[in-house]
Amino acid sequence: MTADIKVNWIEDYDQGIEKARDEKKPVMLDFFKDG
Amino acid sequence: MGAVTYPDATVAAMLNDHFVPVQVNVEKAPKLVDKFQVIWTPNLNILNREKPVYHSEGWLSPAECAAMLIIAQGHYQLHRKKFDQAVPYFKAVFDRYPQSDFAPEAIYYLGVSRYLASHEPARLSEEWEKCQRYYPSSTWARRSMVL
Repeated sequence: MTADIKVNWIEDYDQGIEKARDEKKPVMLDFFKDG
Repeated sequence: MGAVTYPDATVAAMLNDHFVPVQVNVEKAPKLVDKFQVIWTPNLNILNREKPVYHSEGWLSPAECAAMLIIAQGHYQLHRKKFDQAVPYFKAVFDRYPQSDFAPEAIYYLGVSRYLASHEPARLSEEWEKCQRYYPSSTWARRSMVL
């Protein structure tokens, strides 16, 4: 049985860009629509 | 994506460990929608700082999403001119997800990365011949026919 893992989504674009710069990682930017 | 793909343990771990995952509702962020020219969702963009290095549109199964995330890491290294570091990502797509839609592209860019890292044309032709042999009907095989 595999434990559920949730994605640690950031909802603020600028915050995500800053975090990526600090952590030297790529951003995965997902545009979605409700429903 | 939210119902099936993102809850997948492999996909979630990859996103958390190797990316900064940012999720934006298109109805609440018109400036970003305009900036990235989003016309359809799901719309996935891999960014090096704010520069797009890879893009995928449309729903992906967990396995296809995992393959996309690996190939995207290869493109991220390629755009940073870290050619040696791009190689294992492109190779991993072929090794782990050979049936994936992303596999032919991965072989194509494996050749590109190995060539750019070594400047040896043989490294390019080895991989592009593999692309033509394993995925002869793919667009990436046709793009590599120049050799």
